[in-house]
Amino acid sequence: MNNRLRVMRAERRWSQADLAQRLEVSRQSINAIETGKYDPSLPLAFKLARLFDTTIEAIFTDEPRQTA
Amino acid sequence: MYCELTPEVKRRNRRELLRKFWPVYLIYITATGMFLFLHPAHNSPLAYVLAISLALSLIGMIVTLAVVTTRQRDEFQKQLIIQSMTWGLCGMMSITTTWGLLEVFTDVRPLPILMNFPIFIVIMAAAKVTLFRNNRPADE
Repeated sequence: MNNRLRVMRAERRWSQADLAQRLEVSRQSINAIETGKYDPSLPLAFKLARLFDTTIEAIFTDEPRQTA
Repeated sequence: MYCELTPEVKRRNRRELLRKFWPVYLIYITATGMFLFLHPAHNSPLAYVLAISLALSLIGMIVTLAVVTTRQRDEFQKQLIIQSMTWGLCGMMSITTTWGLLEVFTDVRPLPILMNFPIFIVIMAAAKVTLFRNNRPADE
């Protein structure tokens, strides 16, 4: 699963720690989601969508991750 | 540890774990120590009391671990903890199965069943450190 979390976080000038604090998870979790190591559960995905005031589909896509 | 939790989550996790885990852990350590150093007489009431205390404290620790893991709100860390517990179980089963076969077919000294839990804990702890270190978030 691919996601735009890093971009959306950067647009708000939030650090990983800021986002972790808002979601009540560890920075490790945020980093794992951003790097594609971990796909969040639906409740966490909804929490993310609410926090960024958008939909889950706007954050996560099932397109394969592009490698540089 | 090798992870960065927010201070609030860190405090909550530590509080919850310590409150539930240490009482049963102390019973386990005390009973094990008494077994090892007091050498209770064969078939004595003390031997039965210590054995039952050990069993109950073990059940208590396993239930505590399960409850704390279930309530862990950070799902990625929960996944890592479950992975490390799986490593602990697999390691314990591999070692005890191999040792058991060696006991049957060779002259190797018998491994006390009492060692099962420490083997599980040691392998789980090593796996947890390794997994958390491997998944340490990079600097921003």
